[in-house]
Amino acid sequence: MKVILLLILISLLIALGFLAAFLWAVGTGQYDDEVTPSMRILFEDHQAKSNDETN
Amino acid sequence: MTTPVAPSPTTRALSCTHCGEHCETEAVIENGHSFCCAGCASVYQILHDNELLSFYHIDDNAGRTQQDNQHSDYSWLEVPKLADRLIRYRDEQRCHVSIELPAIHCASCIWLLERLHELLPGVRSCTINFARKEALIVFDPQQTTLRTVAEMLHRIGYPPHLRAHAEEPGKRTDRSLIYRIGVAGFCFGNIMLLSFPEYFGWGADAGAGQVGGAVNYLMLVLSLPVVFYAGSGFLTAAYHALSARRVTIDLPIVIGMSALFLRSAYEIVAGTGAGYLDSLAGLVFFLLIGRWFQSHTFARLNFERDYHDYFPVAAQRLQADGTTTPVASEDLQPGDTILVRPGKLIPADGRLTAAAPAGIDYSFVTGERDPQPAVVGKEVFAGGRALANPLPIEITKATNQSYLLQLWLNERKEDAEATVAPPQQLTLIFTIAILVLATLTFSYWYPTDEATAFRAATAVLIIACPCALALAAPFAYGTLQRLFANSAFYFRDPAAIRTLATANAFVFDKTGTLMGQPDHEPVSFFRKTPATLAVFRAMAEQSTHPRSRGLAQALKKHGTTPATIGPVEEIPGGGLRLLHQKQEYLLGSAAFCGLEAPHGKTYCMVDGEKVLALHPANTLLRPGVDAMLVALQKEEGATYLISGDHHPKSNIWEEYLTPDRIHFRQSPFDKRDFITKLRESGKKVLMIGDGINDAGALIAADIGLAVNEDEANFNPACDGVIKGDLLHALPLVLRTARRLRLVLFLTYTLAFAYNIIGLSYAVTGTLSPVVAAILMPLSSISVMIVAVVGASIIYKSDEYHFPG
Repeated sequence: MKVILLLILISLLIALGFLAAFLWAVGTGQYDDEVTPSMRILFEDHQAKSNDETN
Repeated sequence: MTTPVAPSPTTRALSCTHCGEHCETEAVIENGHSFCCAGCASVYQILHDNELLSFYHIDDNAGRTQQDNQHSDYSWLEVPKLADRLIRYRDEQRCHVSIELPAIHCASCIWLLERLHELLPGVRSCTINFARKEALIVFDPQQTTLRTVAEMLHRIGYPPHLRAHAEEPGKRTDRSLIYRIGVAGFCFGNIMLLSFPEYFGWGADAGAGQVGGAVNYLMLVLSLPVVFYAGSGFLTAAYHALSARRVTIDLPIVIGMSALFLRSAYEIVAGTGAGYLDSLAGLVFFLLIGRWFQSHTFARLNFERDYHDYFPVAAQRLQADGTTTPVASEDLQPGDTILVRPGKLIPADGRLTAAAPAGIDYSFVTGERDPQPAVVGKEVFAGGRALANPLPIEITKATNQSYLLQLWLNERKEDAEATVAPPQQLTLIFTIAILVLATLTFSYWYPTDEATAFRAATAVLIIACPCALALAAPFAYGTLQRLFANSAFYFRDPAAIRTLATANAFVFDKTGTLMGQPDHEPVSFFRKTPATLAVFRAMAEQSTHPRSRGLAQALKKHGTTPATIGPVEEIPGGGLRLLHQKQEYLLGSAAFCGLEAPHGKTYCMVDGEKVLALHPANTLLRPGVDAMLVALQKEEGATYLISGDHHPKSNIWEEYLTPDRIHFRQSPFDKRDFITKLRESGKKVLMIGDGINDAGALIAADIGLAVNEDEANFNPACDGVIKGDLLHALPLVLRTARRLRLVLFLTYTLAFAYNIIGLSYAVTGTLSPVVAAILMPLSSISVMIVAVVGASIIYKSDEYHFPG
């Protein structure tokens, strides 16, 4: 029966991983702008002119 | 964007390839494309050369007319000291700068601007934030400069608005609240799951005992971040409030949190129970959500503008040899001489060292439309705009001592709370009531059964949920704030709506607020000879007087092309005179043209014969505003008009307002003092204005609303922004804001009902974790729902419908 404790701890660890991912996503500014990415997604691929892109 | 004017039979129906507007006869034509102006042609050319013509396919209204896009001087960006103020980060290879581009309006703009690197090699990236109309540009300082970037942006039709200082990057996004909600939610969910066996009595057989204890400790560990991180905001707020001897809603919240935590910790360590940690985590979680809900702001509007947004960042210092060098406006000292070019704003107070017959336009700051004449030695003030003549000025005061700056130095009102909390008395009564009840319960049980005494007393403290109380107002006002925004009434925060509901004195500015933009001036023609009209158009275009501009516009609409003429003689206070092909052309007031006619119209004469008369601009009252004023006056009484303009000849305002409530010739300071006096007499003042000249008054009022024509314009610092055409709906807004108090009453009643139910369990010592865990989220969620639904019903229920 004690094995359930181990299971709980493992699943909590996994859940903590997701929490960390959430905190990281907010921290790197992914939620700062929720409007523009929705518009960007509709742009088609664009052929830059022959100069190299400086990105 | 204006719809294209229907082509008259004399002009061909050409529309600009770039912006789609109607091309006048002097359209620029290149390679089979027509453009309404050189600006549009130039943008198209740039896009064409860089293979970026997809710009036009992404959005139908991609291009905007460049006719009003005047040349701007970015030379001051070469001064490292000035440029550095805008730069957020800089090293050898990269330089980060955030620039506001008010012209962003569609997906095409994003598409094009994010390809800035294709137009300008030194740019590494450009990321647009559409809601804020901002570009975050990273460029290589070795390859290009901030000035070049600014100029390129201007050339493609997105002139940058550069402030004196870059805004603090951390200021805007408040991420800490999101982190806390995340952590609290995580802990809440997990604690609740771990509590399930406890609720349903599962696993009460052998083996569960040992596990149960360990799980309880696990829950205790999970509750620590809830109390000490996520909930720390409440703890510190309650501490500060107590030390200031005030009672805020944080106090009962902290009492509840402590009771929950301490009792649960005791039970778990002593092994007597599982505690109430799920209620604790839930309490903190829902309260934080309430905080988040009422922190909603409109990214594209700025309610905090101060003078830095309007006054020029850099000035041109005049050297001995007549050339100018850029210098920061704030570095100007008394004794410096600067030159203000036509169309630019004066950065600091000073004295003119040369005459400016065309005058200075102070409409920006005082609302006075007519230009003020300016002679040598005349005092000039920061905020005035130079007209046709450049203004050499000797500075007498540093920029931060400007006369008009005093308008902004008025501190905002003391209790400018952005959050709506329940009224202080209610909170106080609530806190005292639960403390008294807890004590009574304790003393009742103590003689009989010690254990029950503690249990019951702490149960009272636990279940008396301030959380419903704390959530009602934020959700009700917050919902209304969002709903109002759908009808283009933007309030800076929910508390502004609450203040609005209490307003009992209403002060309106005139020009730009009650009255809309002037219509195009109508012209009556006496003669229509094209050649003559052509000369007049050319004459009018040489002058920057508003009447001349109006005439030039009217003639342009009529289809006249300007003739080529020699220099025009401008007689200040009179008009224009030109000798052309042996004929004398006069353009000016009736007196100037030697006519016996009422003052007001502008005439054009050739050799003593009338050619045309330009009627004064027909500034119209905004639609519905007359009915609104009458209604306000009748229902509320205290309605006032204050204006910087001259007293008009025919006082139409007396039809709507009593004469003693109408004031003209009010300077921005007069306006502010008027509001302050009204407030001192005990009124709650609502001020409605539109420009800088109202800034002082808007700040001084209990609640200040700014009227805006177009989102791209700037509004002064205020508590809310209304679109001009919707001003007539103000009484509706008032009524709705006031009705909301009904919803609040309902939600507070609901909250108390839950408390009564919970307390009945608590005082008998029979409050189990299950009951607490059910009641607390149930009360919070139902209060939230009632608040939101109630606010929506109130919003939609009025007889008239909200516009938009």
